Amino acid sequence: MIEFKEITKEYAETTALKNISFKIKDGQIFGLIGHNGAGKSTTIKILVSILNQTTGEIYVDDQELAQYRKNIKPKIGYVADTPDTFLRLKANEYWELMGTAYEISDEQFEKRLTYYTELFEIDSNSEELIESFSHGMRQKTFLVGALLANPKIWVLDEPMTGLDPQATYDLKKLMREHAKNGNIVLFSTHNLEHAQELCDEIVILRKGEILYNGTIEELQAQNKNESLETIYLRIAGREADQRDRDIANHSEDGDL
Amino acid sequence: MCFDHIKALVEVDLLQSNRQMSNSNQANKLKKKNIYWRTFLQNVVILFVFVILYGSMIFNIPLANFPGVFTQAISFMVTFSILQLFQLIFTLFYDDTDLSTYLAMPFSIGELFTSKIATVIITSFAYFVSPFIFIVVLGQQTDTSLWFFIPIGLLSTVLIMVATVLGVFILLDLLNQWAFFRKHKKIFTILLYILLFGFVFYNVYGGSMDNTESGLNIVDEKINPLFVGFHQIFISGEKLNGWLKIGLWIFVSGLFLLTMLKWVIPHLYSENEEAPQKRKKKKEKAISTHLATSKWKVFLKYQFRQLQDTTLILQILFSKFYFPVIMMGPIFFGDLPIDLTILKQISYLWGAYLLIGISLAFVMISETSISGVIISFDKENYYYIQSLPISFRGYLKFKFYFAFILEWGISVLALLGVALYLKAPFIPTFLVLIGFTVMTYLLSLYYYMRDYKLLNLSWNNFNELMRRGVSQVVRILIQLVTVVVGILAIFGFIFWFVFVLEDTTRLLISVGITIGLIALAIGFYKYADIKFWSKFNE
Repeated sequence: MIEFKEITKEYAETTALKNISFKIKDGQIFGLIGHNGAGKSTTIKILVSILNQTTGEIYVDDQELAQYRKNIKPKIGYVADTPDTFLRLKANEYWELMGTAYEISDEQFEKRLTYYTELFEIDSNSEELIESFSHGMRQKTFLVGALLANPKIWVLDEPMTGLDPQATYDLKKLMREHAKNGNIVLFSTHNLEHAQELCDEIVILRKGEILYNGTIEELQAQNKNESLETIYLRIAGREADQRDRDIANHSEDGDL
Repeated sequence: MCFDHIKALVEVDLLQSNRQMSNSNQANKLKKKNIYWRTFLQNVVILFVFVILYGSMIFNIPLANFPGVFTQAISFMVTFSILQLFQLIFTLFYDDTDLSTYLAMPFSIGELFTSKIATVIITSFAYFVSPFIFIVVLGQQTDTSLWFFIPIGLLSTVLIMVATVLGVFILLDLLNQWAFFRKHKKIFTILLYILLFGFVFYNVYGGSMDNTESGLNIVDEKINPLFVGFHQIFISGEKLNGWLKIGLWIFVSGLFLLTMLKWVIPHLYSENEEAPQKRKKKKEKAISTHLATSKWKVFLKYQFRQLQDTTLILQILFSKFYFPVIMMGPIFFGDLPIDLTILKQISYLWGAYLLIGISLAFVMISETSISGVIISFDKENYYYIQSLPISFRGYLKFKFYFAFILEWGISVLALLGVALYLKAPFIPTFLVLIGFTVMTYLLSLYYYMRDYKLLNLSWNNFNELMRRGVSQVVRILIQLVTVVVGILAIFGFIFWFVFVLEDTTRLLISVGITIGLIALAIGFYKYADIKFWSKFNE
C-alpha cells in the first residue's frame, strides 16, 4: 500500500501541491488526472525520490519513505513523462544499467529482456543509441527498463504518449496483469478514455489540490451518470477557471 | 555502497561523455569494453601536448636553479586542469539531465557521488601527471634519493589534485547557490575562462630578470608562490620552508574536505528541479495587422541567439585571442626589442604585408569558426525554413555573411589591438588587414561549404560539431601545426622580404602576390557560385 499524508510542495513563488492525501491499495491501478501543471508529475516525482515534499509523509507498505528510502526504491519501477535521458547510451547499455541498479540475476535479466523487447518489438534496435529513436521508441526503451526488475510498484508518468496502438494495448494488458497479481500501478494521464478503461480509483488534481478521490463509478453516480470527460471539464476545465474568475471579481466588488 | 553500482555508473558517464564528443560513427564504435582504453588515450594526448610545450624545458634546464620555470609550468597545467574540472564538475554534478532518473533508481547518494568523482579523476588525471614529472626530474637533478623523490612526487601530485578538485567543487557549489549564476551560467563560465586565460598569460609573460645563469642566457620566470614549496623541499637550506608550505597545502586540503563532507555533499542532491515559474499576467495588447519587423531583422536576432553556446564562444576566444597570443607572446610581449620603423626604410614590402595577413587568417580561422558550424546550428529549423516562402539561397547567403562579418570583426579587433600595442604604421597595418580580409572571406566560404557537406542537425553538444571529419587527435595536431607554421611564416616572410630580396625582386614578388590573391579570390568566388550556391532554390 502507498499512502500520501498531507503532502505539500512549495517553491519560492508557487505551491505545487497543497496538503494532498490519498491511499493506493495493493492490487489497484490508480490514475492521476489533471491539466498540465496540476501537480501530477510533482506527486509522482516525490514518490520516486526525485523531489522532496515540503511537509507531509509518504508511506510505502507502512514504511516512511524518507526514513526507509533505500528499502523502498528497489520496489519502484519508474518511467518519466519525457524520455530524454541517457540519450548517448545504446538501448542494451541502458537495460544493463537497470539490471545492475536493481541487482537482477543474469538469468532473470536475459529472460525478461527477451520477453519485453519482443513484446514491444524493439529487440532489433538494442544496439542503437537512444538519441536516434523516435519518441515512441524511447518510451518503449524506458518501459522495458522499468519492467525488467519486476518491481512491486509501477509508477508511470503519461506512459502511453507516443506509443503505437499495439504497444498501448500490450502495456494496458501488462498493467492489468500486474495489478491482478497484487501489485500497484500508479499512472498519470491526460487520456480520460484510458483512465476510464483501466483505473480502479482516480485522483483528479487541479492547481495542486485534490478535487476528487475515488472510483470513476462513484464520480459518475454523483454526477447524473455523465461521461468522465464532461464531469472533468466541468470541475477542472475552462468552466472551473471561469467560475474562479467570477468569484475573484465578486470578491473585489464586495471589497469596494 | 555497492562496487558494481559505482562501476556501472562510471561506465555510463564515460560512455556518454565520450559519445558526446564523437560523431555518430565513432559513437557507435565506443563500447564499455573499450571506453577505459579510449579515456586513457585521451589522457595520453594531453600528456603529449604537455611534452611538446615543456619537453625541451624539462630535460635541458636545471630546475633547481629555476624555481620560476618550475612553479610556472606546474601552475600552467593546474590552470588548464581547473578549466577542465570546472566544466566537468558542473556538467556531472549540477547540470546532469539524467540526474532525476538516477535518483529514481535504487542507487544511494553515496554511490552516485563516488561514481562521479571517480569519473572526474579518470578523465582529468593527465593534468596532474605533469606536476609529478616535474618533481621527479627536479629530484633527479638534485641527486636526491629515488626512494624520496618518487613517493614525494606521488604524494605531491595527489595533494595538488585533491586540493584543486575540492577547491573547484566548493567554488561551483557556492556559485550554484546563487540564482543569478544558475540563470546565467554560460556567462560565468566564459568569464572564468577569460580570468584564467589572463592569469596564465600574466604568469607566463610577466617574467622577472632574476636568476640568469651565466653561459646559458636563460631568464627565470616569476616564481608562483603557490607551488614553490614543492621546489624548496629539494633545495638545501630551503627544505624547512618547503615543508611548511606543503603543510599549508595539507591544511587547506583538509579544510576543503571538511567543507565537502559537512556542507556540499549533504545538500548536493537534495533538490534538483527548478521551481515552476509563476505565470505572469500579460497585458493585453491590440494586435497589429502591420508587420513592422522585416524577416531579415528577425533572422539576425535568431542567428545571434544561436551562437550563445558556451563552447563556441570559448572556441572563438581561444582561436582569436588566446592561442595566437600565447604563441606570439614571447616575441611581442617579452623583453626583445621590436622596432618596426625599420620597415619604413624598405620599399615594396606590400607583398609581405599581404602574406602576413593571409597567414593570420589561416591561424585564426578554422573548421570550428562560426562559418564552419553555423548551418548545422540550425538543427531542425534547417528543414522548416526551407518550407517558408523565402529564398532559401538568400537565407543561406545571409547566414554566411553574418558569420563572416562577425568572425572578421572579432579578429580585426584583436589584430588592431596588437597593431596599436606595437605602434605599427598605418599603411602596413592596412595592407595586413586587406590580406587578412580576403583570405578570411575565402576560408570562411570554404568552411561554410564544408559545414554543408558534413551537415549534422542532430548534435547535442558543440564538441560533436568540432569533431566532424577528423579524429580528435588529428584535429589537435592540425591546429597546433597550423598555428606554429602560421606564426613562423609571418616572421619568415618579413625576414625574406627585408633581408634576402633586392628591390626589384621585391616589387615583382609583391605584384605577383597581389595578382595571385585577386585571382584566387575571384576564382574561388566563381567556383562557389557554380558548385555551391546553385544547389539551393532561389
